[in-house]
Amino acid sequence: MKKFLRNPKGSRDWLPNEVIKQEFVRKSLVKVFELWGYQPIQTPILINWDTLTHGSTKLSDIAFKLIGQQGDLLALRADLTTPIARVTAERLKGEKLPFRFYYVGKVFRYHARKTTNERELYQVGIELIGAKEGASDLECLKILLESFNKLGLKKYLVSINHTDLWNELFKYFGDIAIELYKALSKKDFILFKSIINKSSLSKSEKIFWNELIKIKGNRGAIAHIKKSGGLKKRLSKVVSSFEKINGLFGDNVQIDLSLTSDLDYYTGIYFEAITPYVGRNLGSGGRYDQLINNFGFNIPAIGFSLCLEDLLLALELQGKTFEGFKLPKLFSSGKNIKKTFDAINKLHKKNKSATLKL
Amino acid sequence: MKTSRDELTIAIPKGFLHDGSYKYLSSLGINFETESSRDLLFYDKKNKIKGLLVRPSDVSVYVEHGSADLGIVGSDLLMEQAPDVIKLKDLHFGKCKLVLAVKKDSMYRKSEDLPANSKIATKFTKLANDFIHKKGLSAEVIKLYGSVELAPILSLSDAIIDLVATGKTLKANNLVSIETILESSAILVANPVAFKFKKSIISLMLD
Repeated sequence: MKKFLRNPKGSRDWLPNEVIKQEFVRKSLVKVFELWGYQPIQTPILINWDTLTHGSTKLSDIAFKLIGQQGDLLALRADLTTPIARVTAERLKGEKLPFRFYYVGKVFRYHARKTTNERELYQVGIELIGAKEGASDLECLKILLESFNKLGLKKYLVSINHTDLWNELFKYFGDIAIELYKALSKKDFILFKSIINKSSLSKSEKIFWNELIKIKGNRGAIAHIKKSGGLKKRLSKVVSSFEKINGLFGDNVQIDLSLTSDLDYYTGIYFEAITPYVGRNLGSGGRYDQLINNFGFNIPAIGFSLCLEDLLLALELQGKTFEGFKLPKLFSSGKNIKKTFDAINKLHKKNKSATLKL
Repeated sequence: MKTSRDELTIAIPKGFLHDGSYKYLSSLGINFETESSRDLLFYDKKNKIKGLLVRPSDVSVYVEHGSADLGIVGSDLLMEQAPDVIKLKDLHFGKCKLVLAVKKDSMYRKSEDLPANSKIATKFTKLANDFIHKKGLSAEVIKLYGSVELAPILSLSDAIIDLVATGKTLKANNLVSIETILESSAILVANPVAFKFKKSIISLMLD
């Protein structure tokens, strides 16, 4: 019996009817990005291992490593933000700022997701490079929401937090805040509560922490920070950032003070997008003002990336129907094939598909 | 695929935690009607809650993928499987211990007594390997899916790592526990996405 040479674990084929759906997602998002003045950028799939380690250590832990013929250490890119940071630092110094880039490309990871086996996935996203915290954050979030609307995703939520919040909590509360952050990263509310209960925190401090994971609604979150006694002043920047976001986007962007980030290079707002149709996040993003500096260009930036496969899955589960392949008009080749080709071309000029009947 | 997004789906384990799970849910006013004892899906129509009856080790799988919003699972399995779910609440029932046990008539009285290259049979390979690593033992893990107590009797292994609730099974098989690795109880877990979209209804279950 013939042996099946199937794809390696975690990779898949895309047959034409599937590519059509994928293209719908890709084109919808690209349309939004281009209307906002973003330009496409491409970087290689094969990268130097060093490029990867200049980004997030969490990504280098799950990246594919390769050895080149001369023993040089290579990798398959595990995200696009890091390679784009590299090319920006190395090729674009001195150009007029800001840069607005978008990308669609595959990333490779030993465990692309925690719950499933995929090892290669499409990421679609933007990078807004050279603009400081402020209006550019809002532009980025606006584009994220418009992307979901353009796709026709009926229900979604963007959870958002700010690194300054936790940095100030670390400074003010010390080690215990670090332990509490770790418990939240592990999604372990039981551990979170037991750390608080066992601690020597004052009664009001305990209430502050216990409520942190219970808050509902943006007003509640903002009010919670304002209640934070000695921290209030130091968190005024975070508060004003959250107030702007809430004023502009309302309930579509939900402030979540307990949100932790999977990547370690964020330096401002960071966020993740979810939809009830899929049990994991669709994508994430945030401000990363130091990342490009790792490659030698001190310049602020913000961006997000979405998983194309998960966006498609969400649309399918919500019941969206996709246009199928339109069959071309068929022409018999006949005796005079030149004449047939002319007839076919005539239709092509009208933007109608036509081909030979074979 | 879920049909109604408003209803809450809870994965309930068969076996050791089953009765406790029902009691806990019933204390919250959730009561499932079952038509036949073979049903794997059942409903509390009043509260719009759906229950799934699954194997204990599958609870996390359903919750992690979002097929169930909530689940009840032992902390032993949570540590063994390390699923990406929110650990919401310790339900304080279904208490048991994961222990290292050996034959009663053996010379081993603590883990360090086990000889080099000894074999340990268990269902919990990750936790067993973590334990071996932490203790600096030189031992090999043999994965079994049940009746682990047989392994030392048949000399398949020198010791076992298994769950003990009352200790009766160990005793009946002439085994004795020599070290407790961890203490386990039932945990309420949630899918992280469901937790955000159904926060109000889920938080009702927490107080």
